Amino acid sequence: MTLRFVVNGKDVAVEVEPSEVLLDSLRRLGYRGVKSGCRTGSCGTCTVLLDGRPVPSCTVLAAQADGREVTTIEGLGDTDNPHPLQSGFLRQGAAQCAYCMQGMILSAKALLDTHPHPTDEEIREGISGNLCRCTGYVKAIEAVAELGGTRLHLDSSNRHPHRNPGPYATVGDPVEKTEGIGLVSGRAKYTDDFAFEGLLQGRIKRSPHAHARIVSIDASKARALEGVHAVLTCEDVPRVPHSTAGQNCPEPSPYDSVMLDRKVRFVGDRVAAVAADTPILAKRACDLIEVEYEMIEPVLDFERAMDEGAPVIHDEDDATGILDASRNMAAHVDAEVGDVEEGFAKAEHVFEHTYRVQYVHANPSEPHIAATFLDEKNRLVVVTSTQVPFHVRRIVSRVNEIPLHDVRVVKPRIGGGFGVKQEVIVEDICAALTLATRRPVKLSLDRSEELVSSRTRHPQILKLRTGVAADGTILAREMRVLTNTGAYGSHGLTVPSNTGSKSLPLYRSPAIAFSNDTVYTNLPVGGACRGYGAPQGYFAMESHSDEIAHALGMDPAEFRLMNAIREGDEDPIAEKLGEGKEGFRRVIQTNGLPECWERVSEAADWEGWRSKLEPGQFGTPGSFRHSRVGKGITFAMHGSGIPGDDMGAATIKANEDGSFNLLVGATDLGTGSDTILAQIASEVLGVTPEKVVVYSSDTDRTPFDVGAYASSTTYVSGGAVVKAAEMVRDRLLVHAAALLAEGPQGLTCADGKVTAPSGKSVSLADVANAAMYGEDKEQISFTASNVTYDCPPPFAAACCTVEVDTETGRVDVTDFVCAVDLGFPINPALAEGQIEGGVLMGLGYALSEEMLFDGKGRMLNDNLRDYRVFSSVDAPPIRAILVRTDEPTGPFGAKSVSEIPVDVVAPAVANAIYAATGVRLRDLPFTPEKVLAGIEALAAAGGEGVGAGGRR
Amino acid sequence: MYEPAWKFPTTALEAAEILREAAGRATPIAGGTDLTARLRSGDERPEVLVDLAGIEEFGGVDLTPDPDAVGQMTMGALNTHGALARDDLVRQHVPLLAEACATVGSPQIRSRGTVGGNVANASPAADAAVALLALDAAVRVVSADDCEGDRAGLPLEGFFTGPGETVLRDDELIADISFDCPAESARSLYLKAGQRKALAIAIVSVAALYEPEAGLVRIALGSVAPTAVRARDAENLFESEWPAGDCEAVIDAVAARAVGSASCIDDVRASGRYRRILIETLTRSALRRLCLDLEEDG
Repeated sequence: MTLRFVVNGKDVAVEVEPSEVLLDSLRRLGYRGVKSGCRTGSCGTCTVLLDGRPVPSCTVLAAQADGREVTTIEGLGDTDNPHPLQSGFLRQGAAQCAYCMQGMILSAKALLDTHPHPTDEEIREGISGNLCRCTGYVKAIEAVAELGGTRLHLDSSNRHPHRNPGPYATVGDPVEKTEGIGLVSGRAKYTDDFAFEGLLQGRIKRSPHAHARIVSIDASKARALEGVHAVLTCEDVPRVPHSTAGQNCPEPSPYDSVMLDRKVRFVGDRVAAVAADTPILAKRACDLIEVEYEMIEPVLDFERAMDEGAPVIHDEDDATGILDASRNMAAHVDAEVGDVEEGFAKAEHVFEHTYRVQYVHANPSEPHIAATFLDEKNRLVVVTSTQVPFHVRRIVSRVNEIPLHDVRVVKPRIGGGFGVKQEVIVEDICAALTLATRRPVKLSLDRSEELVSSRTRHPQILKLRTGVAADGTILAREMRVLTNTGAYGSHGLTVPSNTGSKSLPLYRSPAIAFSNDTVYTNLPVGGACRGYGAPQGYFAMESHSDEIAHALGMDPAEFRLMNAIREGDEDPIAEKLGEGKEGFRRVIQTNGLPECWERVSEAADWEGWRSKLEPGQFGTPGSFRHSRVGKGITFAMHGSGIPGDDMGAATIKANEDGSFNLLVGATDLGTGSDTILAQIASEVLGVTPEKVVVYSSDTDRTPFDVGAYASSTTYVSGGAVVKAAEMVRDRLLVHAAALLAEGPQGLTCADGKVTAPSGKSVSLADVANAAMYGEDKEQISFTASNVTYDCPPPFAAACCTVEVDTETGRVDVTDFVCAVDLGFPINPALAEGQIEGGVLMGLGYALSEEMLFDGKGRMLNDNLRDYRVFSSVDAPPIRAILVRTDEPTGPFGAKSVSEIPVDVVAPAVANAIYAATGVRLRDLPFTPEKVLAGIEALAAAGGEGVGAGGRR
Repeated sequence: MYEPAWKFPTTALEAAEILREAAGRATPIAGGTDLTARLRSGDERPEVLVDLAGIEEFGGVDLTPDPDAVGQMTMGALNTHGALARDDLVRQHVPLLAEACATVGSPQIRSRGTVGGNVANASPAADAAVALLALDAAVRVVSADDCEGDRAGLPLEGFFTGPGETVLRDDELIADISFDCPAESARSLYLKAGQRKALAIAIVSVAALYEPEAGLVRIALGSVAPTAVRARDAENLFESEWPAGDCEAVIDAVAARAVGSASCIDDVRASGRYRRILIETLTRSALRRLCLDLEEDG
């Protein structure tokens, strides 16, 4: 049928299918700024304006738009003439991956059209239908507020203009992202935005059973369907045991996965794959594949996985690296420094508590997607939304048994990753479909597949035991962990080892012990997820810290400060634990923790609030009759890259106009690392950042980088950029010396020119031009690599304020202050964005997010309605504070910032709920129902706190 | 390939005739926020889709004055939740309905989803329907045989027969929904406990209306039974006990009684036990605010 409507003021006629939704028609028409997120109207990513009102274009049938007016992000403004909202979002640093931003900006536009001067609440409400996973909504709200002249209730720090803390010219500036206005105008290209001639749609047939053997597969009906070009089963693809984890080679994860197996190990596991002309045909072909299963009893309770007689999940004989497959044990970690038993014997008090953390999902706005094709030389090109292009190349090549030099991996813009894209879960099989059909194939996960079949944050049970002296000095501590890695062991050794290595060093103790068992279950697969084991460890350890402080009658801050690691301290437990193997000696050279706490304490009025409490009192009165307010705190440290493992490289080449190309393997997944790396290069080269053109990342064209994980890009890859830039600069100085007839000793490179001690100068453009066209012609270009063994930790302190409704158990976070010592802030606006977004992700972990399963291992809430990511109206004001130290090993003194904000959140919320009510919750997430049960239990036990009823 | 035929009627009669001819093979579509999901999953695949957007007589909000009372309010089925949440008449006379509409989904969903669709879908969690139930609303249904809508005034209570099920026949359409406006002195509100504040489906919702002169309340509950329900026992208890010496005690008893009208289940959003607690808590909170003007309740 023909659809006639007006798009961005232009009359358009287009043939549409009668059941097609507007989202697909608009994208086919080339309005690629309309992004697909969930296809159920739950995330707002596909928002367009229909007759001026925001609508989810995934639930509007195209036929219904006939005769109506549609505005997409492209209609708001373009790169030449951006709409004030687009430039405002960019200026405020509101756009991280920006996949959800196109829709959010349109919602904001509709709001400002009807409410030119919205209130704080109206702004939050106006964008509440646009779920964002990267940010804390803070900067988007500020961008709208700026345009609407709105007074916000609680200013976050960045409303005050950033000043470069100095002494540098470019690093330290809150420069706008190098991707520029394209990022907020629909021009930025994500994987789904590439067009390919003759493109086929891939789809994976998934297991309906948690544990079963495939007796037979009959794909004949699917293959016979017209428009189906390939059906792959385990018979048709190479069987290469590997790990899907994108880690250093050889991966410290078991090789327990094959592309397609004869056994399924969780509901949502791969059974077969199809390439067809359309998504609908691909789905139909999947449905037509007949599979006979022999059911096996599933292992769903991870505490029973190692039991005698438990069904064995990995009984294949070609897997390697599994600790003990017969007992479903994927991995084990053990480390001890000092003698903990001796420490416990000496201790005045010994405290022991057990904590539990649930299955959650990183849930990036853009689900996993890859497109593969054969280029004119028959090489396989993989365009993919990945954090680890070089690991993808290696694994795709190995699993498909094709030479590595025949694989090229290209990373376009990424719609968020958070670790879940540090994994090869679509590329290998998409490539196999291209190899089978010799045609381009696109394979994307829908939202349900993303939640069920990609990767999750590992659930754990953590037992903590701490011995302290009478004055509160810690004498011994042990952490015993049981980790559920689900059906495959991806990151199953290193995530739990980081649970210990990231958290335990925070407090000095003469004896520290850590152990972990990682077990398989027939549930979704664990993987990397922002924080990489540390949020689990910190929830346990920092809840435990509070419990100890309260038991000792100490101020929780005082207990922490007296035991916290100091500058100059060694960190033997992190060294012992390493990354799946013994690590490297670490000495803390910079530690801004005391300042972090000082500033948090002041911003959150910690002392003032505590002074209102009578001894033993829980909570202060809230804003309504039966509410109680409490504040909870957390400290944390993290790491910067994986010592000895992570390697990043950068190439810089000089152009004749004094500009530079910066080629990096590092992958910006929305964090802004392209911008950070450009700032670093421009600082060394003495030019403005726009003179540095960043290209990232392409295995044919950029040097190697392990990829974006482990809080490594600024620190590790940034170090490579410094080195390469220095080499380029030094070479330019040689040419400048010839032009100036001085030096090269004593020449400096700044402000776009080279200056001699005499004061004589020459522009960088003239130098570069001379290098390329003058007497001694050369292409100035250098590549440098960077590996570090230091892993300097950033530090953080946080204070969370909650208001608990004691009748319903609802917890409202009313304020969250988080200070991070990130070394030197290369870009303060982007750094704050990392903190705000990390905190919001942590709040979901603490309060609302949980993957739920039925008794057969099927996920019950595999959609964004019931998998509860925080919206803008749920998000509290998040106040990010940057604390500067100058880390001698980091580029311009920088450490990391991206993961540590997640670490501090859940325990801060737990401690705040305790402070408000006297209820200690040790089991995430704190749903209203769980909080209320805690209040009831406390009342039943006659304990102190709100339940006692006497302290209101 | 699913290829439904589209019809774009411009009058109720035309739409009704299409439905009669199709004899069960056609589905009316308005905002489509729920239907598109069912089309996509394949749960529902009608041969004909009847777009109601062009039927002007299904729009508008009217207040018919009545010399002895405030009057009767009629809202066309095609009013979106967003439109009703913004509508001055609705906000003035029936704040519970405006509030209920304002909690539906997100701004995007509210600009598509209609009140007629909300009622026709018969979700036990439907926000607007719960508020309308408390208003003793009636549904005017039209069909080809009865285009004037003589099946007017089908009371909403009794309209729902189960989750997603109503008394509506395949050839019938909801034209509008009407109710007698509460007295000027009446107060009403809508409380919803969801899993988050936006894009939330109610764990429990309570629509309550208090008429001080008549000394009665009307209470409707969402997400607590296979359909939205009225808490009749609780209302009766209120009428017989109010005002008593201890108003707070009456309210406590009424709130406790409301639980009896529910048949709560455990699901992915909450347990039945927690739902029962919420019914009592939200009802109490609603009545304390409405009857005692205690705004400090959360």
